[in-house]
Amino acid sequence: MIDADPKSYNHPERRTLTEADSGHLAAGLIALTREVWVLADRMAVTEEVLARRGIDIRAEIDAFQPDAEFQARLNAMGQRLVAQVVNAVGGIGAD
Amino acid sequence: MTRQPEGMNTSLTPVLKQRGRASVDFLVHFGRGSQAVCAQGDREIAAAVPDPSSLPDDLDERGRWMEDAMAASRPWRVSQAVGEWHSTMHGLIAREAFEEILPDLQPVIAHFQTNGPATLEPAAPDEAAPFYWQGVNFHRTAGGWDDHPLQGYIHGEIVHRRLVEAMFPGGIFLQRRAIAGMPPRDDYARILDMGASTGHFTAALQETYPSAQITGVDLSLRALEHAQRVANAHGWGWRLYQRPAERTGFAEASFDLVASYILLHELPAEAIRAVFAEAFRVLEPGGDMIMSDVTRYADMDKLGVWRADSGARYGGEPHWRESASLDLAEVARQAGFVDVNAVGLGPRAYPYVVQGRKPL
Repeated sequence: MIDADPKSYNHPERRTLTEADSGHLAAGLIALTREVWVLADRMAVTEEVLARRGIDIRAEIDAFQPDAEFQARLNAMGQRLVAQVVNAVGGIGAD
Repeated sequence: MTRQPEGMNTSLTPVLKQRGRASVDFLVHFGRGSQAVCAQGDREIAAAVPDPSSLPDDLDERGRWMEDAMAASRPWRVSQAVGEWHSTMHGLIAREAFEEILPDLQPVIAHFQTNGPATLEPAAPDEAAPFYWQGVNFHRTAGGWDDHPLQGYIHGEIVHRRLVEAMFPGGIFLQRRAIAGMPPRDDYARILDMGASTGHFTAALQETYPSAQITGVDLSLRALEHAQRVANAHGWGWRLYQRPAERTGFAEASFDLVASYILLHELPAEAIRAVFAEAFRVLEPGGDMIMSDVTRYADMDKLGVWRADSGARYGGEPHWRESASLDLAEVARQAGFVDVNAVGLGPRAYPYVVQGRKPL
């Protein structure tokens, strides 16, 4: 029977990953960590290069609004990053 | 990401900072980047259920059967984890993005709350919300619709206009406009929007019938506060009330069109019947009704029903099953409507639109 209390839907018990997934999950996390590090390194280097040339871009980055073309590039990059991680956990394209 | 449709932008439109912008965008990337895993999960579901008609009739039993059958599928387990993360995080990420821009927005929000032709009447302090609404985190929004003092802005502008619009470019606004234009007359003078929320469908009604006086009711004060801001920003004189759609308190024959968009699945069956009865009561003789909602379970096979039911279970939709199991055309006829027409639009019969007329 469906639970009569609608508040039971606030935090439903959902079957997701199991112990069997832990090895794949670790692989996905490591892949993600590498990507995050590459990006963090690139960001730090960018800010440092610009700072050495007397340009502080931190505030400009905060306020930056991508145009359609740049947004499309960001979308493709973001989708690719997610696919790398989720596919690694889900075993897609690994064989 | 697709930006807001032309003509919809106002100074209320959020200009997110980098962290918030990239985080909201990430939710979209996350959905799209997970498609391969979800598609593989779907293929494995199809292999496990070659004949959907053989699934158990009882929906709870069917749910357990499917989850047991799919437990061995790694892509399915991962797709569930993906869905769970999205369900729990989208509201929190939108809230975080909002907090980043709040200092810039505060004066604009304050201005449009009070400056303009729209009015808002909150419920009386002793008026308790219905049991089916109180304490429920609809859409698994942390704390529910009214937890954050500016949840209406967060939901209307960031979740809907940024996130959902990016996932279904143009779709959610085009769909509202298409439905607003479906009633039979070219013009209406007094329109009631049942479940006006933050005003997206109300705006479509106003754009379709520019001279109409529009009244909106909803249970969420936070949502209505944002509807008021939206109306004021456009110069629309909406009259908004924090009242249940099934008990509006308006006099009989107050409106010539009563409409709702994707409200009914948030209500149990008893309340839905009461909403149709209330729509009939407040319509003038000859007035029109149009209600749209989610695809009927009767229009899907057993596997499709399980997908919808499972999505509702894990998506913070406690009344979806009752609502989607109802024959809305029959409910409309029982309320007294004539010339009742019900049709599922689109490839998956979504949205499901019911129209009727109060006889003269």
